[in-house]
Amino acid sequence: MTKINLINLDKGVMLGLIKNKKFKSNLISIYFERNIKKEEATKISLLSNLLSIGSEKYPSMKDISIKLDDLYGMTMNVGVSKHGEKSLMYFKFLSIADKYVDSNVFEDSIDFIYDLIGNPLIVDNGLNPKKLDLEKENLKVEIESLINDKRSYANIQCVNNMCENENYSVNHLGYIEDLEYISSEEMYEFYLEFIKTSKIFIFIEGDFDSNRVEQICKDRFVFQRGNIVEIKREEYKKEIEKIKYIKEDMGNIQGKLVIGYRNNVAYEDYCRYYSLLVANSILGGGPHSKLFNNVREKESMCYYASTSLEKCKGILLINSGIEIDSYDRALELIRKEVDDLKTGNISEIEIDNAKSSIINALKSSYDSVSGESEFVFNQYISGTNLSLDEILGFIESVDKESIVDSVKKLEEDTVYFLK
Amino acid sequence: MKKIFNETINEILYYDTFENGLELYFMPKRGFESKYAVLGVDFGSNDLEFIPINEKEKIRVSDGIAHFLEHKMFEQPDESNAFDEFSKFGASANAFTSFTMTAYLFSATENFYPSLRHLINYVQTPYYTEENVNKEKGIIAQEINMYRDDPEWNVYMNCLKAMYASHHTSIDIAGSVESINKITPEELYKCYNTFYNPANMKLFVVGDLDEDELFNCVRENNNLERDFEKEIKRFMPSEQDGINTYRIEEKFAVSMPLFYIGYKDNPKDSEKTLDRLKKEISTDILFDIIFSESGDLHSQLYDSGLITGSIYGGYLSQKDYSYALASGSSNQPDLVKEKIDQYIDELRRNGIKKSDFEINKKKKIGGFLKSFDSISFIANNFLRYMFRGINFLDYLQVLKNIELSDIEDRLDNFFLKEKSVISIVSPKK
Repeated sequence: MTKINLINLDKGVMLGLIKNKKFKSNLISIYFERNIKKEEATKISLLSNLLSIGSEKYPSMKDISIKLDDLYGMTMNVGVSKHGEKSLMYFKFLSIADKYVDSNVFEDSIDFIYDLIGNPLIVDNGLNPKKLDLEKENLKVEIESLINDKRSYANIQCVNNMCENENYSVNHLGYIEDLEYISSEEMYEFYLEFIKTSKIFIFIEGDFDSNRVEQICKDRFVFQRGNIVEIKREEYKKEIEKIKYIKEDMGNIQGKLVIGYRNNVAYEDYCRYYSLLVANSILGGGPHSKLFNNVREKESMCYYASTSLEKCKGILLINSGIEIDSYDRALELIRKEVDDLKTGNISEIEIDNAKSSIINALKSSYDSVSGESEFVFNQYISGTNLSLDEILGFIESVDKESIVDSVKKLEEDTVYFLK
Repeated sequence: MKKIFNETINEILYYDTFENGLELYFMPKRGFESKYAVLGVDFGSNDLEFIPINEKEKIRVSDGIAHFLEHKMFEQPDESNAFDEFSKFGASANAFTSFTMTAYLFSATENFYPSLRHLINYVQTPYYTEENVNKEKGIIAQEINMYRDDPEWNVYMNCLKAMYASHHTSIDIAGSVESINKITPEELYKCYNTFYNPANMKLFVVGDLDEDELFNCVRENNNLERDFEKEIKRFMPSEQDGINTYRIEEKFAVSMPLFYIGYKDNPKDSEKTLDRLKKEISTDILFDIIFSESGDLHSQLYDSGLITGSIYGGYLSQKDYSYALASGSSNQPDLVKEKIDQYIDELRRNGIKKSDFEINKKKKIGGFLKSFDSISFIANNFLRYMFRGINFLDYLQVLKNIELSDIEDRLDNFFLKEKSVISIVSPKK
């Protein structure tokens, strides 16, 4: 494993350098972190779109694209996402390492990236006013298009119903009704505040000269700093009084069944959390899992039945695509598998397979140029700062007893069915 | 064992053909944690008409059979599932079927050799019974239904249907619920015995491994002896030069219309493979000159609010068919198509700017080099090109040698309005 070099650039600005000779690409990722809030979500989302379509030096989307192509097709991925109840705006750039093209792509890229973030297109104290209406319309379309992918739409709907009055249900893409009243002046004010008060993480991964890169970043990434927002830990515990049942009809051929559980486990409780991670894998983490073997293969009930775990919020989701008429039967079969997990009806082979599968996935993630920086970033924003080896150690030590203990407070909260 | 070293991309390729006809390729990736192996069979969903091995008459099998066979390959005679063994080794296994090939793969950080032996072994062990074939129909029917609900998949398949009247590429890879219900163990065995022949298969391995150990392991473990001298006789209904229908529209639960525009090409069998590769890359560069965000067309469409994001797509070239696809979302997809047609006409009149060509070529070079950071991309693409007789290592040299005149030549002969179609998925009211 490589050694990561973490440098404090400024108040609330962290630079992580991950040198890795095996890649031909360099990845530059910049994250802005805040607590997720309904009243800010639309502005953050609109801001990410506006910053990526014009800057002072590259005023149009076409100018930006020409620059990217000229940097040997550097790719740019700008957007917003949600990590627990934290809101993230991210900028990710993938460029070719200088030595493959005998050109100064890296330094040029940094100048370009800083220009997009640090010198946006301001006209009469407004942020890119000419393009505001168009970008509002595009964001509206983006929010509405969530219904296109039925599987992910069903997951989102289950979570939103489950966490109705919690920040976790805030849509990080924003809200159509908020768009109308946002002016370009307001966007500029918000931009200044956003840059000044958000926590900033910069990660650079690839094959480069560390000292030179550190110096370039120190010189170029200079942001105005104010009072940095304090990030709150998510509420992750909840007792369920009554299960919510929700059905939505969209005229689909296949039904999408999503069951949301509260797991009531804190990720800071490492032994219990990594036992839960293994439990999640045993239940629905791939072809070795209970759901795959017993619901898909034995019952021929579905094409997919899998689970996912939300680390910070303490949510476990099961989702499956089934015949619309099989709703009751599928629910019964899935619940049986969850009960087996809770009562310890788990074989040693299931435990070993789940552990190997997680270990393989964790190690493999280091083979992509984004893998290590994403791993470190995820540790960093959760404040856990575990190394890969430490995590592997926790997973190795999981046994049947610790698995059963980790799922004893797993409680069904919401059953959502999209048909 | 033979070896090619490519200095520009700093990669080595080892390869050899074993006695039974199986080809093995290996690209070392020093420092990578996982090793990736993919066993490809030159048998895809398009292969529906052929003469089965040791028979004389041509048969037409059920739509979706290659994909069905892929699912059934995992079933083993001792009633176990091939996934079980991979799980034991901590390997992550999968398989996929495309229009032109079937691939079985795994990646592993530990236990690579036991996993590789298992891969070779299970793909050589067919086991189809009335019962296990019928059981699979339920799972695949759900897979088909999942795709039937997916607007992206439907707008894509409809675009192929609009372009092709008879070619099998207009048939869904998984077939339909009706067609898979007709599949029998006998039909599966006929396909297996004909196509799962070592001379019709290639194995590609990437990772931090010793080449001698790898080649010895494969030599000792691929025991399949087949009648591989015979060439497989495949048939495809003859396809007209022109398109099938200009426009297909379907309603779905989507927020705004999605569109796919298809341009049909007519590849000639007589062309040499490297000429085909040159044509493919030239057309891809031309596609970017026309459609990418750095071009004038995108600005016109985006700034007027006609499209909401990028236009995605590119050129696809296969043995007996090729086309380009451009997709996006718009409230007025027909108008978008009209504007694109006009723009391409103008480009033909005004010519391509040398600087546009240079910058798009540069972008393609960077993109190609970066793709060598993904081991699955390397293996899957090498296989795809190998089945067409092309060594993917040649790609960069061919790309570097492309000149503006090659692009102009493609502009004269391709992206023609009379050979273009539009497929639209529009919102249900």
